[in-house]
Amino acid sequence: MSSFFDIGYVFDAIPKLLNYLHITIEILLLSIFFGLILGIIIAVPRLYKIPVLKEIATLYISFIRGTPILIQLFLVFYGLPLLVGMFGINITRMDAFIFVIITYTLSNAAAFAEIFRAAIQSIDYGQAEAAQSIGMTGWQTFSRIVFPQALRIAFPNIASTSISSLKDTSLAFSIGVMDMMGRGDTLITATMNALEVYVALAIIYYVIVLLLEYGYKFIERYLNRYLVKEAL
Amino acid sequence: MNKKLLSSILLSGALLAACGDDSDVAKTDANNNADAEKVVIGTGSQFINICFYDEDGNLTGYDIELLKEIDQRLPQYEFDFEVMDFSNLLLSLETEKIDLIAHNMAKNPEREEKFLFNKQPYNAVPTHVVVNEKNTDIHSIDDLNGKTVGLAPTSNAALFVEDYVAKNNLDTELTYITSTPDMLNQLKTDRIQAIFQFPFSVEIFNRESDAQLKLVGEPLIFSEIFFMLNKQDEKLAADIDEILEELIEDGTVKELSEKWLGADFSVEL
Repeated sequence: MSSFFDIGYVFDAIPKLLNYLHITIEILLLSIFFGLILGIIIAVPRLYKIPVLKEIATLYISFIRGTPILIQLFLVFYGLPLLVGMFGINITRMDAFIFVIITYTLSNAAAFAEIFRAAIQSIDYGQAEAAQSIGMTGWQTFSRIVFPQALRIAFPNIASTSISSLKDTSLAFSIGVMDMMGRGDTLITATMNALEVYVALAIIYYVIVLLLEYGYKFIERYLNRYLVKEAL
Repeated sequence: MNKKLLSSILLSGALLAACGDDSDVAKTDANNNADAEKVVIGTGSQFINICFYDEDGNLTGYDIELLKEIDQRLPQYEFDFEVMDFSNLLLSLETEKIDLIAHNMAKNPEREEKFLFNKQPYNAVPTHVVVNEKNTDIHSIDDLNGKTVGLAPTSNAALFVEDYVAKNNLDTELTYITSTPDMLNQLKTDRIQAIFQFPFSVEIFNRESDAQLKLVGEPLIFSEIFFMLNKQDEKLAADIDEILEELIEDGTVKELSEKWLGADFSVEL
């Protein structure tokens, strides 16, 4: 205990922290999955310039971008039960984990909506016209011509947003969802080996991000499979 | 390539399924009475020997073990523990996310106005000015003029110090730190010059983490420690009081106090 840094404790801490890795991964995957769905829904009014809904979507995106995620977490954790309570439904005692998923979904959705909008707008309108000229319906044009190309363009941004949201999951512990970072905090309280625990956490987070990046590379190659090789 | 994509989707699905829905609420399995009324206990994780996770990840400490003992003797209730940041506890009690706060809470007028305290204190501890053991120029709270001190936000010590500094026109910089290890670290590295702690915590910090702390001056406040509830939960408070008196009587509190606090504080109760 007297030594400043006990390298052995880093390796003692890693398995203890890994016991809580699944919470971190769960938060990440669920919030990305629901965030993608909600993100597409939010992008639509801005793409098709639907009045009123377009303004709401713009306001929503600018609010989420303009406020810290910790505040969003508290607004959802304490504010949402009040809002829902007005309709006579009591969700005050709902599992804190669900509040965490809701918050990160809302936050990811705003980022994904902008990514989708930019990606879809980047597809030359001439392609849609060409599709119509051979008799495709609006939906066919979107699902077979525009969307596959837009996904290819959006993917790297989605990947990097999801990597940065991996690092946000640590805030969940402030409302009682113990993920890996939360376990790290409590381990520090119990043992006072702060630096060792932080080093262990840094190693784990970095390895996860490396694995994610490796996986994303494969998906990206798959999405780009129709591109001419020289163009890559 | 299609196979690879498919397998990665399957893998992530399996990972999710493996996670299951093991709720992180620590349940006390003291009683299995199906009709038992659920009581959500709000507590923290940063207060060593009061409420903290041990190295194996179990929530424990004086407040926790005492409540488990109370739960065992109250078959009509079932206690669930919810852990959150200390500064979120009061708001969570107010919004009824939790029914009771167990976090070494002392009375103050603001808290009494809004919330209910049970009648029987379960701990009694003095708060002291605490400085680094090498420090020689701070002997009491009045020597904090021109110094920087660390406070836990919304704690009773913080309210006392804010008030004292304002009344006595001290030029003291107040910094707010939520994590105890961080606070100790800042004191050790002289970013702050004083903190406010209980003697038993100082002893633990010095023993467990070479925190190099020493107590100075007279106790600032002598705090009797209670559970905090919402005003309408008088029945629950009365039931807990009854068991607490029983536990003090039969020596359980003495035993827990000696184990976690290093001395028998039940004599003060």
